[in-house]
Amino acid sequence: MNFYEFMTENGGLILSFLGSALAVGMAGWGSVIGVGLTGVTAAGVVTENPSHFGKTLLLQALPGTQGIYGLLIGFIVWQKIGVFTTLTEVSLFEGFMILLACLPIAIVGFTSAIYQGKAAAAGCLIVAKRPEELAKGMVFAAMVETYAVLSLLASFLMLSGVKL
Amino acid sequence: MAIVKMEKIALTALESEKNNVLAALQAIGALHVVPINADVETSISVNPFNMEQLEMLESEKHMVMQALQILQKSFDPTQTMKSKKREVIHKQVLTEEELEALYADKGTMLSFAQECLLKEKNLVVLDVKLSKLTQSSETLFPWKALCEPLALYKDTKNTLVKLGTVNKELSDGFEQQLKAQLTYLSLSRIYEADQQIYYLLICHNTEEQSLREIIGQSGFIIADFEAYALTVAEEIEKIDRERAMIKIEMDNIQLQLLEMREKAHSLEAFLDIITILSDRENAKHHALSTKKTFMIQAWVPTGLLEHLHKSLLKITPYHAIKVIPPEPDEVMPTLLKNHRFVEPLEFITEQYSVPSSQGVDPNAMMMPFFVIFFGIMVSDAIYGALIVLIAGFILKKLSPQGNFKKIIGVMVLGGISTSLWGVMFGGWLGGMLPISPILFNPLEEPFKMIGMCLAFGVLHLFIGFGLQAYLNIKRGYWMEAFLDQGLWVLFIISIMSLALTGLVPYNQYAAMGLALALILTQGRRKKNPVLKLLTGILSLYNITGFLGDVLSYLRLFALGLATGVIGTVINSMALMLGGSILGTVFMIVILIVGHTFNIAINVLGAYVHSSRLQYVEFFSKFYEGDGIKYNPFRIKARYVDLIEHEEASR
Repeated sequence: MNFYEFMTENGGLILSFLGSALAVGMAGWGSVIGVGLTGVTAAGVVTENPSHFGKTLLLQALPGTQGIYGLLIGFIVWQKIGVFTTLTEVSLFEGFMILLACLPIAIVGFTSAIYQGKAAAAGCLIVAKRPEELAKGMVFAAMVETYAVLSLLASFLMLSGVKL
Repeated sequence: MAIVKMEKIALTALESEKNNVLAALQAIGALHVVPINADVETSISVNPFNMEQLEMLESEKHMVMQALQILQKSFDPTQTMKSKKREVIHKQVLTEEELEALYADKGTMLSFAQECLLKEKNLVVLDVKLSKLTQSSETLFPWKALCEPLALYKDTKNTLVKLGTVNKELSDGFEQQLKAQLTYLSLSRIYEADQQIYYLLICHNTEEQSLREIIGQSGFIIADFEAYALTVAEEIEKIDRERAMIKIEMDNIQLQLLEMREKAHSLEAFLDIITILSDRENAKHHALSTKKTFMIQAWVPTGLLEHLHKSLLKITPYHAIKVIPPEPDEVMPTLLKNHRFVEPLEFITEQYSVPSSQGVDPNAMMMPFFVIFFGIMVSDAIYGALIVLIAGFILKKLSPQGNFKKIIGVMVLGGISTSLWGVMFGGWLGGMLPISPILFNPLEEPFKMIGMCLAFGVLHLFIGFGLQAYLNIKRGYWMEAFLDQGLWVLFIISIMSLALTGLVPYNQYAAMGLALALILTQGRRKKNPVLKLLTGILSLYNITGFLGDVLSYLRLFALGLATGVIGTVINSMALMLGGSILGTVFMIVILIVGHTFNIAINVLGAYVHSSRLQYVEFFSKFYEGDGIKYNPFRIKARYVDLIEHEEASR
């Protein structure tokens, strides 16, 4: 079997795995950066006033959702191609479609988590000075998340268009 | 709507009865006292307000608050676990006379508070000492190998004795140079740390010059042990003893504070008394006094005037209440009054901004949408039931107050809605219970779900436009209501029906006509006819903004999707482990931890995103914030109840 034959035979599955790995990996990577960024600021705020722990923790949780969205898309792909039961046949074309369907959440999940982390970190500073205005800080961060939510929806709809 | 109407009043009474009248007003607790306009002030001769009493009360209040904070964080140093037991508060019932008597006897309380502050200050001083000692013990530690008393490591008549450190990277060069340039040299490594090497260096004092050069080049840092005389080991031991003593002293102070905490109750009651008195003094500050009379101006909810008058008659017949017109730019304070199912939502609104008393109270309109959106975004029957249970438990057991109570109220409402939508979409513990949906399954029929979300969005936004139209009409701007909101809504409806049903003849003309009407009217405020037309045409561009707003409601679908699918992931992960006994235990643990996590993260998401849909999409259409919250002059006491004298004598 040469490489060309190998790819025509297994390429679909490989591309599906690549897609789901990108969705889970990239979105998770972004969340790691975002949550980490917020955590650093939150720790600083808590040093000054330990009673702000709960509030800053709420803010720190916000950029974590992108990782979950990525996992969610990955999970749908795995279910589709039968990772949990027996692997189904995936043609090269279908494999490409699945890979492309994973891209919105991979790309937007990655970037939005980072920027949401920055907004949430700034929100921690709001908490430091005016703890009663926590909700405003949360909304600023949630504005960023909109696009992650939209890309999650896009990925989901594209995936539901691929019928194996 | 649900903004309470208020009237501004001027209340005049006798200066000699000022204290009694103010005490009565504070008990009634309905007056939002405002400063009196400066113009009035200059036109009559007034007794200037003496700030001293107020300043004294404020500083006492500050001190007592600090002392209470110190007492609250006091703990038993002998126990590792902090005991969090908090006794039930028994409110102390006081009459006016008792209150004054207690304040007059403030000496003991203030000295008690002072003692707390002093102890805290001592703790800080000791803590600084402790860390200094720790530091010196750390600097001494590497030199432990020097067995002679430190006082002996001094230059003698003919030799130079140096103790010091060199950076590890430079140490080789340092040693070589010394050996090359100094004839008489004793160099020993005392200790090697990660970065530094510790040296004892002895040489003849005729070679001081070259020694200095080498020291300068290699960054040899001379250790200064002037303050120590004994051997290193002895010195460290001495420091340890001192540290232990300080620790004992600190523990003692902590224990004393803990003991003092027993008496915190009376200090808390005293804080209430000071707060009541300083609020009263503050009201005096806003009042205007002549020789015989004084006047305060305040906002009072309409309808309370009669009650106010009657209550004051019990104190004195000599008073006058007059309704006065507000100042030209004066803002009426905002007091919201809503049904108890809507009241929790006031918290969400106030987090954005207190509604202006000139605008509308959005809570009643917002409530169904907030609750529905929250429900769709979590949409799991069992999750909803759990949320209601937990929130209900908190509501019953902890009897929360103020904003916390409102948040819990929001959770109860959101939980109920979550359950309902779970039933609608067939969400039962992430699909563990195979109960078919009443409406449809969003995962299988995504387009139905998208349609539903967008429909909710359009409805929500139209209500926003409607509220702005209502405001315009209320203010007499009929034209604006029709041209700005009415035409827009009609235009959007016609465009939507065009998009949904295709080219039905009349539809098309309706849309074109409405577009034309918008082009002709939207630029009506511009003077220049060219600009008029341009503004009109550009206004059609707002349709994209509307489209963006509507699409934003797709988050309802996406977040609902997230809850459901994560629930499924947790279930299938757990079920993979089932089978053996150990596996079953792990399965149950994963199910509990996983679903708890899923509820927590999704409730947070649902709360934030429902709020966002209100703030960004809904409020931007009509909301007028920046109101002043109604903050009446009242008794703000947590540990004390104040009763009238007659009640007490009965």
